[in-house]
Amino acid sequence: MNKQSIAIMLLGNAQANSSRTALQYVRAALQQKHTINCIFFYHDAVHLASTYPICPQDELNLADEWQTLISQHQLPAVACIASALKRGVISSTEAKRHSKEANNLHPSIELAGLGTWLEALTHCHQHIVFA
Amino acid sequence: MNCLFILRQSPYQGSLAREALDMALAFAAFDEHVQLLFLEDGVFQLLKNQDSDGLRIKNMEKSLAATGIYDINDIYVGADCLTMRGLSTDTLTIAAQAVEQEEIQQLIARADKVVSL
Repeated sequence: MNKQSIAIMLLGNAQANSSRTALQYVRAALQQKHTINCIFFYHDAVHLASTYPICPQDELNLADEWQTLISQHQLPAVACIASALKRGVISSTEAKRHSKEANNLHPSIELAGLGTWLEALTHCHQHIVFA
Repeated sequence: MNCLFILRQSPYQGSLAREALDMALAFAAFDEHVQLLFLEDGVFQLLKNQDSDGLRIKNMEKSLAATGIYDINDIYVGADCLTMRGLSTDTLTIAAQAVEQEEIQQLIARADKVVSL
């Protein structure tokens, strides 16, 4: 199969099965040398960009898993800024802007608008929404 | 780019219906050709006389009225999805064309990108 450029959108939260399936999908795609041109966290999926979820030891911390995968492979990852702010996922810049004490956005993930997703969609061979 | 949005969420169960429509409107604001197809419980978004004041959630009907401002004119609704829920195109707040299964397949086939939410 030809190498594809793939854009991924996630909608499910940090416990959702779709977030787990998407993780396995991205790992498999990378193993087969496809390119991931964007991972876009939208709606409840912005929780995956937070460094704050803490799970019991015998449970998979999906937010951690995503952040590790993104960092290891230096994947372009974006959390929708509007979805993220609404759900309390904020960068240090946004924390300052909105006078919040702490910030929790993982450094490998950027906050940006829907234009970034449109851009990724325009340039990918295929895109998948994990809902 | 001809982008077809398939909107399947009921309007006030969580915020996904709104965030999906927001995405479609954003794409239109970037001058993409946006088409909307309402399927499954998404058809409830199209109902006339929605009152969300009690829920203190923004009214979906008002947001849908904005589609005209964004030049979104291709609005479709699954005919079967309406019938199954005892609805008809007369009960809808914006002019949406009822489409059968075969037409839905054509809409999907003709679109450059399909985003199903």
